[in-house]
Amino acid sequence: MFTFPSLEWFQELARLMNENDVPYRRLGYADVRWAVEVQPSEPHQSTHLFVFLFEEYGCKSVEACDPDAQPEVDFVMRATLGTWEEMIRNIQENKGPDLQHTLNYLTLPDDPIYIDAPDFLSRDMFARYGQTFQLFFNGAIQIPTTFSS
Amino acid sequence: MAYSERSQAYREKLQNGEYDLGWMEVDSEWGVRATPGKRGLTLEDINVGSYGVIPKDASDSLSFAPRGADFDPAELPDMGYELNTDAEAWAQNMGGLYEEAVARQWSSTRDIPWHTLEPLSKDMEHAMSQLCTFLTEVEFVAGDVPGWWLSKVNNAYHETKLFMATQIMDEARHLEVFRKRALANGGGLGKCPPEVEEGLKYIHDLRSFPQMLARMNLFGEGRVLTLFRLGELIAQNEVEKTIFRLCAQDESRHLAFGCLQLRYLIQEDPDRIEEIQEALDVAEQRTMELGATPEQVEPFLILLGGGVDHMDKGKEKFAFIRKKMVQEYLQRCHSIGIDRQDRCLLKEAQDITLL
Repeated sequence: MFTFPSLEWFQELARLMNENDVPYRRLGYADVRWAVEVQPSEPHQSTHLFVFLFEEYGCKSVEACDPDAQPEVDFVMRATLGTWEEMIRNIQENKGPDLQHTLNYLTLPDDPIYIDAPDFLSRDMFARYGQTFQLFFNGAIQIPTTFSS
Repeated sequence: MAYSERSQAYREKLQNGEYDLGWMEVDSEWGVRATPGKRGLTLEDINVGSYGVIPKDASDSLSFAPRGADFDPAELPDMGYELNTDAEAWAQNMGGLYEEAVARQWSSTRDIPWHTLEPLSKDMEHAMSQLCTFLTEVEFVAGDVPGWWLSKVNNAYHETKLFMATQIMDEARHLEVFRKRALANGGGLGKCPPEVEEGLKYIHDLRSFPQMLARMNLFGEGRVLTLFRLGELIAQNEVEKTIFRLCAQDESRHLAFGCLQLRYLIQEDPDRIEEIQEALDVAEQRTMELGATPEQVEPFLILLGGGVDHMDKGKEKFAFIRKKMVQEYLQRCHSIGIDRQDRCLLKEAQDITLL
């Protein structure tokens, strides 16, 4: 069982990507350094930041970072723990997201997931590799998960 | 010696059993051994030594001869290329963008789950078919225009030409997939109003490359990218969702191409900003004049609202999307070095705070 959010949970997602690269090859490679920020939904929760390096058809590295650090990334996906939890549960329950829980749907209005980037052109990389990111998160289907409260 | 005389002399030489082999004494960099990376041998991998030197100005060479080859420009035909400086026809990462485009190709025949399509209500099918008709028109111009400009780019900047070729292929696939969708589910093609055609003709007729990039890639493709991302909201089934998702990825690449080119041009030649601004003035003006017709607006309202009886609901969502389009457009202008917000004619611009 893996706890979300944790480095181990995202490492498992990366392992699944790296060991099942056929659909990623079908989509084409993605070279991008990006991050996920899990913001507190409740006052007692803390912020978590994870940085990913995608190269070619896999995830070359995953790191947990100090949330106050400003890592050099193309963009950060920012959302509350509650939003991430709802999205992951939906992916797991439906064996893939329903229409209201795809990354594109959740980010299009900038809420509940906000794509934060130092430059708007690097922000566009989220759309450029959109299906690669969706496939990556769909790996959650195979991760037994508990959510930290 | 005239070309034909040289050829004749060589034929005689061959008939006498003699060879020339002078072409082996080549005045280009020899002994080059480009090293493949993990994904193979990319365009950037072969930009080694003199072959990787991008000329600032290539106007002295207007032939088909490739960058780095041994040739005398004075002896070769003038192909009339018009984009002969790096500022106009090149930008960082063009080779990488080309490789990405090649790697991320998809097939409208193979990759869309056509067999899962199920009939929609008549109003929804009409709306989707009309939208697909409109998008097919848009994709025609989006392929034709870079096709024309491709022949104007000096061959010294082959990375740019190669990327433009992928854009033409992408747009071909887009018009193919939208036509297929219109004809695959009991509907058919819809109306082509003159306002849409006039708006597209303006892009087609532009004769300044930066203005074309500003109008089509920055302004137009940016709006289309938002529409394709919106596809997630208007899609009624997995077929449409897949179409919009895959098209959005391509569109985002075309947008990156235009923005990177314009950003580099502005850095190298800031005097060209006004030329770009003027193209955007016209783009916005034309959008206001021609962008509101029932054929363009109502299919969105039906698809967003969930039917002809819910178009008011669709209207609210559509207003949000229009604002989002303008916000993203102004952000991209800002990102490439153009301050556009105060000059923008679109009414949504006044309410936008740049991030």
